[in-house]
Amino acid sequence: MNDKQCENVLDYLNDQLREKEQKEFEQHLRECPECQKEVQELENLMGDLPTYMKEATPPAGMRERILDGVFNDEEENGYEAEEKQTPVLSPKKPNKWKVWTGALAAGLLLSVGGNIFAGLQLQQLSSQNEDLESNLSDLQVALSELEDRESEEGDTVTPTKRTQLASTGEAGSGVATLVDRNIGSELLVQVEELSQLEGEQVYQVWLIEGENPEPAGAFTTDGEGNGAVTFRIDEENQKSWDAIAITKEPQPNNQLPEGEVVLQAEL
Amino acid sequence: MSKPTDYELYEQIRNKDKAALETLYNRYEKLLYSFAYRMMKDQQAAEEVMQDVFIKLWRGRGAGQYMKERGKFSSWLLTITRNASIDLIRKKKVQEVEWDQRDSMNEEMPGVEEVVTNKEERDQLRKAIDTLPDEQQRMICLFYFQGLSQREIAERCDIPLGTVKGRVRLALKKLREHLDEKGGTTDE
Repeated sequence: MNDKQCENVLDYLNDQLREKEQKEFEQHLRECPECQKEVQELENLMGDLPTYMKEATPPAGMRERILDGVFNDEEENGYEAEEKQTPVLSPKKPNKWKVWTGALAAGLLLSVGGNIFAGLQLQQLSSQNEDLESNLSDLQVALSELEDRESEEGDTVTPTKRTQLASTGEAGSGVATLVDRNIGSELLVQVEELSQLEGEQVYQVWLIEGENPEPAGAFTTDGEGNGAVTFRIDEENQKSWDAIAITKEPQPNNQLPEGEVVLQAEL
Repeated sequence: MSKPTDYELYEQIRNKDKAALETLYNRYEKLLYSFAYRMMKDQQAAEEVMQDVFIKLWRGRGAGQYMKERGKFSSWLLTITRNASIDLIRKKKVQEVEWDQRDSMNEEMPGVEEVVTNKEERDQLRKAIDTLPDEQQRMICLFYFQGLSQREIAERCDIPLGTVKGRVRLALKKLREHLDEKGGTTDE
């Protein structure tokens, strides 16, 4: 039995063991000086190899995105403790969208964009309105913190373009707004009455220049087919976008559209 | 103000000190990103790895929990970065291109201009790997960079399962010798 465990050193180091196997191996490791020696030796040999690698330059804005992702994850954890996949941002009534035109709400929504972009957080409206309200207020607290940070930077917003998204046959409608920021710009998309998603499906927003679509945020919808997403366009990625489209993708994070277009508009 | 040590920062992070995480992030962004980029060969995937690493660190559970027995904090951080990369490689089912020395080791050959201006910064690791016999290069590529399992390596190289560990170890040892020989000091 032990001999067999000793064969797991490499797979342990490459994180290739299943959880149970890993626990068993770690147990074995405590009792087997030979394996301890081997693991340590190999770890030492590999340990600082990355310091001999050529440096790569991180993409612009990565620091912000990562830290936002991390700190938003904290809130996410809180939700998960209550219930898996509780709605993060889902208005109870469709007409609540109108509220978002307020300056404060716009700030909140922009901050939510960081969330959604970083983690592609799922928004699903369930029937538990109580949960929803408490989550929403938690979120607003967190977001107003982020908002404070943004206002400290003196960031102001000016809408530059607003367009109605037209349905291509399926139900649904929406509005896309481009907002200029001090640094780059932001795209806000709000939709309603889209058809329900299944499984891993998401609605993916694309900004299109000529014939090249670029992913610009994704969202899922609530029980009534409402959804929203914001997307930050860094200064260096500014293009003269010709159109915007929303497709139904079989899974998140597609870099090119696979699914059909459900809403679209020229910009 | 004296600079907090990594471990001090880690302890503050455990207490959900955001500023501490930001400091640690600044300290390691370049190293970890460069590593993740080398593993993933893709900007966006490397950023995903970074996100994963820092979320694990912030959560401080399971793989994100550092213990002093694990050795130096920086080595531990590199280990979880490597694991996160391997994990993502597997998730993305990155096409396992047949190994080819030119493809897998020299894919990041800098442009001529870069060679001229950045001679000093050329990848020491790649240079050291290039000096190894093909078989050892291959072991490092499959084990270290692609994170394959022992069985996968045995199959890929058509060698007995029982010999994989010894060969990987030898290759890493030789690599280490070459790096040390070159007086390869890091600019840490």
